[in-house]
Amino acid sequence: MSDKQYISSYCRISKNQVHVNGNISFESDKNKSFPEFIKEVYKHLGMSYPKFYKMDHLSKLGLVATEFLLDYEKKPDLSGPGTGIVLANSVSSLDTDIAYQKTISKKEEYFPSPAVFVYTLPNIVMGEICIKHHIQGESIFFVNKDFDPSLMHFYVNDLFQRKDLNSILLGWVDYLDNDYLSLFCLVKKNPSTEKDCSEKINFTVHDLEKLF
Amino acid sequence: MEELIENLKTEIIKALNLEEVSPSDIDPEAPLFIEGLGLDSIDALELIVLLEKKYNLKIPTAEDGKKVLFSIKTMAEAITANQKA
Repeated sequence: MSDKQYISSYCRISKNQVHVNGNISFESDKNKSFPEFIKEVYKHLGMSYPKFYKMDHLSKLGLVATEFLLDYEKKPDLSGPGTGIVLANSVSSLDTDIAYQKTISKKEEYFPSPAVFVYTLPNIVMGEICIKHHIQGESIFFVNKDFDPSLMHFYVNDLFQRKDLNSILLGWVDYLDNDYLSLFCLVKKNPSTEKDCSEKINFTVHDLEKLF
Repeated sequence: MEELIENLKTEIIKALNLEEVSPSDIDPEAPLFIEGLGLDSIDALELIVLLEKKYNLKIPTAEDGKKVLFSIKTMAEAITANQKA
């Protein structure tokens, strides 16, 4: 059995479609706005998590991508310090930053919103995922112009070597003004059986490039 | 007071994005935090901003906040008292 890490599953969400491991899991009318689409996704998933409605678009996107992965994986327990989370995007929390700016831009309509303000950092999406799934392992959020498979591969490998992690949620989650893309994958350490080995994607820079 | 309570329910639902809650679901005397609507500290900040912006009611201390924000009814009573002052 190989000692290498592998990608157990992946989920891509863009253009009002959700693909899990290359197969379409959900889609909606392409003309629908992101808020309409993501609400449909929430209901499709059968989630009962009222806090979802308070989140910004970036957090909603990251959370549902995680839910699709975990549904596919038959709801594994990610709680505790054995699960890490490594995310990245290109626009940080700019969409929410702009929304917050609008609440304070006019003196006569000055209404700073704490509920919007708390999402003006991109790593809050990680916080929301960790809160829901009780993830307590290492976490980091990169802001890069483009997805960097070499960096992500290096960092994830380094975490597996230095920290006692069993799995890492790796993802790219970008949202700005109705334009969005998320690609999440669950990277695991050591296939548990020979059958697992043959069905999983190797965790290599090349395979990450192909997915992204 | 009844009209104010109903207005507050609608405003709170909108301000706090309580998407799955309708005004008829909210008991005006039920606690807003921990039980009842189960609001959190960020929601408390939103309510404080709402009270100041829409009703010109400033909450000077945390202790005052706990009393005013206990329920929708206590919020309405504080607004009414402030308007009379």
